Formats: sequence, structure tokens, C-alpha cells
Amino acid sequence: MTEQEIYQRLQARFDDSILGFESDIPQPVVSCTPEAVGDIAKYLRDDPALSFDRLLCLSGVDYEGLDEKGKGKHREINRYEEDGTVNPVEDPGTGDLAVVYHLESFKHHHRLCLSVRVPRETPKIASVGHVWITAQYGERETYDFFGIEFEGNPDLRRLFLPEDWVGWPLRKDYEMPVRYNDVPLEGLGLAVRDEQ
Amino acid sequence: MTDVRPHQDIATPAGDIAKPIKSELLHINMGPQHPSTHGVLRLFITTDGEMVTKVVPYLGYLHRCAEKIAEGNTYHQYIIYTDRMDYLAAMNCNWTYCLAVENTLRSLGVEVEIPEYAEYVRVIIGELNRIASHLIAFGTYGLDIGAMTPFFHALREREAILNIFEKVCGARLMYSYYDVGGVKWDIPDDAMDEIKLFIDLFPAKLDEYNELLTGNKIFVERTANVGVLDAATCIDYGCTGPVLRGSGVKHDLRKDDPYSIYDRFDFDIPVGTGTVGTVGDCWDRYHVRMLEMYESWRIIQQAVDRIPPRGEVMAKMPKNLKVPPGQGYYRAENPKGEMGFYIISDGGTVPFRCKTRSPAFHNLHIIEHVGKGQMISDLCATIGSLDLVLGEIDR
Repeated sequence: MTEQEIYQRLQARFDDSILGFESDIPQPVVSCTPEAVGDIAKYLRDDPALSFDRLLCLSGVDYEGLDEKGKGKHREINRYEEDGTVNPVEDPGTGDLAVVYHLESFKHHHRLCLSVRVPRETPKIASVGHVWITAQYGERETYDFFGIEFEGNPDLRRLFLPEDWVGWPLRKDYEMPVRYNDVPLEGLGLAVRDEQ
Repeated sequence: MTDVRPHQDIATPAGDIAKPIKSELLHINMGPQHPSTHGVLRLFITTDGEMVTKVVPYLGYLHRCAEKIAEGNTYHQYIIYTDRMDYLAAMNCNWTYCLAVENTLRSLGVEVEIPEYAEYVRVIIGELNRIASHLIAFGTYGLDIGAMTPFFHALREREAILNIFEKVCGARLMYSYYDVGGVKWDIPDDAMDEIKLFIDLFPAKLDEYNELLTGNKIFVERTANVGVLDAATCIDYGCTGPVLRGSGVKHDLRKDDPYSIYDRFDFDIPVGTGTVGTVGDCWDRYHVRMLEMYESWRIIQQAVDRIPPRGEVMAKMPKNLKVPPGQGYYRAENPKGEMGFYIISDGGTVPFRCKTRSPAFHNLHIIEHVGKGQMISDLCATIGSLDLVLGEIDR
């Protein structure tokens, strides 16, 4: 099945929850609402004509700094002084966060890219951990780096970073803390980089 | 941290006998410094006597912010960080990343014509590194089980491969040899001679390994019917590579989704058959790796035979590589399984987002499932059979 057919099938079944379809790119993307992703995932796996039994990759994305056409726009980054103090950017960012699922079917050998945008202020999305168990770790990783909350994940903790770490490092407006547990982090040359 | 249960007073010695022996659940930290966890993996296990009732992996001891670093470095600069992911198969990680960037470029309308000679060099070097990675898996698995000798044999042959790599690119572990558009240098003559010598000698070594470990009675006792994973569970947990193939699923991206020039070579995909136990046990996963070394040897042999006369090793690429706005997820078969890069470009010289799908990360997850109900010693055998590399898991 091509992505176009999968999209039409999904639209016939879920109607309003399917938000769009980008077809003019090499790996077409279907986007849907964050509340419906659990049901859509279950349908994608269980429908015999689709049977997406593999979740290849679950990624978080921060679209801050990317315009509608996907082009990068000028974005300011935090400046660090010699003594380690931060001059944060004035506009902390308004772009959406997103979770991207890359799926594949062993049976039919077709693939799908499902993208779900969530608002930056209240990043909440339904978990798909009960559909593909491997998503439980991917969701923990995405929570760790982006602060996106997956409702229904049985064990939503930070995966790589310490549990008392502050902030979501892969967000574009992340500010590196100056100290962590009384260990100074300044002067390490982190994030001091010329703007391009 | 122990499980405190209400204590019941025992009134009489006779009652003492009548009651079954009560054991308490014990929580143990296995790792991060544990010889059989292959790096800094920490498993928090709950045991009932010798039986494991729960396994919870704790990750992040080797986390180096690779994905954040990717957003601050150019496409070329990030190649060296992919070395540090699966450091036992750094060539393959380089290759996967370069492949992802090339495919992203191609899909967005930028012509990338990799010279045919470079493709052959890529296959030869990549398959050599697959053998080197599987040799480590084979050797250290013997160590986990308690067999010391295979490790020395495995490292001896790995040393030969590392010597070849040193002649090819000057490094023995962190190569950064593959580049977007080809490889950095040609294979020198003496390295090519060594590769040919290696091809001649390696099958005899494989027989040696099989004599040493594969059929060893103690080894079979320790690994057959241990850590059995059925195919559906493996797929559900996102396992790939020898772990998935050990469970009898014939899936290899070199055949199923061919990249580079793999469609030109004749090789098989070995799968677990349950020769000495059940399909999908530790022995099957181990044996799939042994057979894969032989298949890699076949590919190298064919590639060395058919390699075209010396020529360019790099495509014509702009010095300041800019990728047009767009995105793509591209993958390749690494020794540990399917590795993929999801690249989003904003049109600049730096990736907007570069997510790594690392195979060992997904292969590790299944330990939560398979570890339950095992003996502690079997858990060690199972971890070893998954062939985890923490550099890739934590990134």
C-alpha cells in the first residue's frame, strides 16, 4: 500500500483526527491529533490491510526556529559570559514540539511516517506503549529530552539524565544550568559557539 | 530497600517444621561495574533466592549528548561522533550516518554519485568491521560463560583486522573513514594484500572457534533453552539484527532493503533453528553471529575479486555541505542490528535534528521481559547473547 492509500484509509476511519498529509516529499508524512494517536496506532497495527507491527524509531522534535516551509529562520541562542553566567534569549520560543513515529510492516513491506504536533506549553500526548512495547523506552527518552508527557506510559521517568536534572535539553531554548548538585558546570566551554 | 513482610511468630518447633521456608525478596544492583554487563550497564534486579523476578535497566552512564552535539556541528563534523556510538563497529556507524546524509541529499534533489570503486571499498571495510564486532561478541560471550580461551583467539584475529584498518585510515578504533560521498582515502597496496591474506586464513579460524566453543558440552548446557525469545515478542520490542534472526525471522536490510551494492553479492541470511535447544535461545543468537561471520567473509571475498581498477574514492561534494530543507529516516544493517538516522534539515550546514535509532537500545529493552524468572547466572548468559554496546545505547 502506498502512503496515499494508507492516508485515505486512515481518513475514512478517523476523519477529524487526521490533520494532514504531506505527499510531495520522498517520505510522506501523515499528521494527526495528539489525543487520537493511541487509537490510530492500535488501528495501524491491528488492521489486516495495514498491520504495522514494527515501530522503527520514535523521535521527538522541537520545531522552534523552523518556518512553515521547513526552512530555518534566524534564531538566537543563549550567550555565555566568561564567568559562566547566561544571557538567555529574550524570546524563549513559540514553535510546536512534535513526536514522529516511523513504522514498518513485516507482512506488507510498506512504511509510514506519522507526525504528531503538540503545543509547547502543554506537551501531552497519548502513549502508544501498549501497542508497540518498544515505544515505552522511546517515550521515556523523548520525555527526558523534550519534556513531552505521554499519558498512559506505565513508567514515565527520565531515561538517560539524572532524575533531578532540570530542563529539557533537546528543546531549542534550553538553558544549560550553571551548577548541578553544587558541581559547577561553567567554564567547560559548553554551548559557546559563534552564531552562523 | 528490602521487602518487609509481616513477621509471624513461630510458637512451637513442630510448627516451625510445618511452615514452608520463607525467603525475602532481595534487591541487587548489577553493575555499572560488572564484568558481564559489557560496559556501564546497571541492572536493578529483584531476586527471590537465585531467581530473578524483576529487571530494571538504568541507563545514561555513558550519555554524551550526541544528538545535542549534532545540532551544533556541520554534517561533516558529526561523523566523528558516530564513531563513538558503537565503538566496536565504528566503520558501520560512519557508513550508516554518511548513507543517511547522502540519501537525504538525493531525496531532496542533490546529485550524489558515489564512485563504484568507493562502494566496493565501503563494503569490504564494513564487512571486515562486522567480523571484528562479531569476534568481540563471540570472545566476550565465552568469557561470560566461563570459557577464557576463545577470547584470546577472537582478539588475535580482531588484531589482524585492526592492523588492516590502521593501514587504511591510521586509526585502530575511531576511524572516521567514511565520508559523505565516499571514503576518505584509498586502500593502500599492502593493506589490500593483508585483506587477501586474511580471506585465505579466516575460514580455518572459524572452524577453530566452532571446535572451541560452539559444540562445547558445558557451553551448550549453559546457553541452550536459556533466554528463549519468540519472534512476535522480538518484533514487539523492536529487536533487530542477530537477536531477531536468532528467533527465526529472516530479516536483514542488506537483502530486504538493499543499500549500497549489496544486491550484487551472493550471501545467505542465517537464522536460528533451535539446533541444540529451542528456536530463539541464547545458543541460537550466538550461532547466528558465527554464521554471519562466514557470510561476511563470503561478501569480502566476492568484493575483493570484483573490485574495479583503482579510481576516485570520493564523489564531487561541495566543501561547505548544505542540505536543502527536508527530512528523512534512513537505515542500514549494523552488526548489532538496524541502525537509522532521522535527519531534519533547515537548509543550513547544520542538521536541525539528527535522531539516532540505535539497535542495541531496542535489544536491551527485551531484558525486562526475558530476565523475569531466570537464574542470575542465566541472566548473565542472556545479556551476553544480546551483544550490547553501551556507547550506542546511551549515545
